[in-house]
Amino acid sequence: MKWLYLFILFTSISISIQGQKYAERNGEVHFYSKAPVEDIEAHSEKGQSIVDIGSNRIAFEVPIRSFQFEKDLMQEHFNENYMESDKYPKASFSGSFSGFDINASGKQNVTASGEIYIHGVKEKWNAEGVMYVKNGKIHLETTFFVPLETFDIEKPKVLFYNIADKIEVNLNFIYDEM
Amino acid sequence: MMKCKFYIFLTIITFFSLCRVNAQDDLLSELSEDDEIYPVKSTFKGTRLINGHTIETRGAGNLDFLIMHRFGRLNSGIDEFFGLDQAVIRLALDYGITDDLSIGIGRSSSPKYLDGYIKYSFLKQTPGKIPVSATIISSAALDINIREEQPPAEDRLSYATGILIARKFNSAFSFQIAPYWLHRNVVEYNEENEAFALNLATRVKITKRMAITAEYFVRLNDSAFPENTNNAFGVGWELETGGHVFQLIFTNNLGMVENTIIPGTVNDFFSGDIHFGFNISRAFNLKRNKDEKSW
Repeated sequence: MKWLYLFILFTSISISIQGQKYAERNGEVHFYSKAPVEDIEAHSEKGQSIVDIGSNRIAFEVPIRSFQFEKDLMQEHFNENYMESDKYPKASFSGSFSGFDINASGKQNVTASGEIYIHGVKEKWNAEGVMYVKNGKIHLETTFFVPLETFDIEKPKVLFYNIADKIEVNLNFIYDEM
Repeated sequence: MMKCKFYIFLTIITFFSLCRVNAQDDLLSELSEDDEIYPVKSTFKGTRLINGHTIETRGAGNLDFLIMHRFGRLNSGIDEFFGLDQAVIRLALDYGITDDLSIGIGRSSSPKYLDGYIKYSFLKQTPGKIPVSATIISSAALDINIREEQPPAEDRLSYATGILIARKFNSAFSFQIAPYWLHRNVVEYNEENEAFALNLATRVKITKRMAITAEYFVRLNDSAFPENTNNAFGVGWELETGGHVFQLIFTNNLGMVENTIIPGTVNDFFSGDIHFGFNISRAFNLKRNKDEKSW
């Protein structure tokens, strides 16, 4: 009897250490470049993310090729010249977050810190966002700014496009229990 | 005995829980398990490489205005200002009906030709799945040179159909091979109506926006073609700036549609009969991707 008791105890400990994972497979990722001549925006619905409530860890990635632009030519240039999606097919983030309690109601301000990977460059990264639970699903909304220079993303010199120095990125994820 | 079993259990459970702690360090690798594979894009920059077509089609709703310009022979001497006195031009419009289906019309000066084509991309190179991209093109050309006795239109028509097969080996190197079948409604007595040729084309990127290109049409049944004509050859330098693609080219022919390029090359590149020329294309977006903008 004693070993059965201990078995249950350790299993529950191991589950609580492992935590509970929630995943999003079709997350919305938007980005905006606001510049005097032209606002450029693109979106993807191929953002993927996992949050681990037990260990407060989060990972996120999006295929560069999945971004849709208003103009085909922009999309081609984005892939070919700026993001070099042949070489660097994905952007990702992995790290930990704090400030979220799954049992609490209402919107909760959270912060995340970890490493972001864009265009082959890895950087320490902090971001703020909002998380809340609705209908058993975890929602995450966050906005952050990506400076092009940090990630060796060339700024076009020609007049045709005018791109902001910092690109605004919005994530809108809804996680289901895994 | 009981105690022994208990310790074994303890060890196993601890081991498993540790494993799980380790596993969560790599949430990212869990995400990468089912990655979508995207087909290869931009095998070539333009829908034309030098004179001939590439596998590329314009996206849905894109209108390309294309100016193809050829000067005279470089070795024609100072009297002809090394060919710059003479000019042949083809103005054309290409339109993408869908992402894979394009149509186009064009008009060439001297010799005067009206031409039209339809082009469909039916295979897309996809890593790990499909090794090459392929496009079929079919074009028709009408000779509209003014003659005293103008033959009926059907006698002045010729057709060309090609299967274009290309592979982007890496981000810098692309290669295309394309068998062409030409049908000319009326030919000279010593020629044949059906003619066949093989197009070999390549593009090597030297910087993000610059590339060196080369194109060769090998004629397969020489007897079908006019006497004293050669295989068409050209080399080019391709430059991209925003919505424009500039192609500066050196070629041994003045043809700009299949039925003037392949049977109509009278010059020999390596004897210096080289025409300098350029292609400029400007893309216009007629249909914005509005459905995508529901967000």
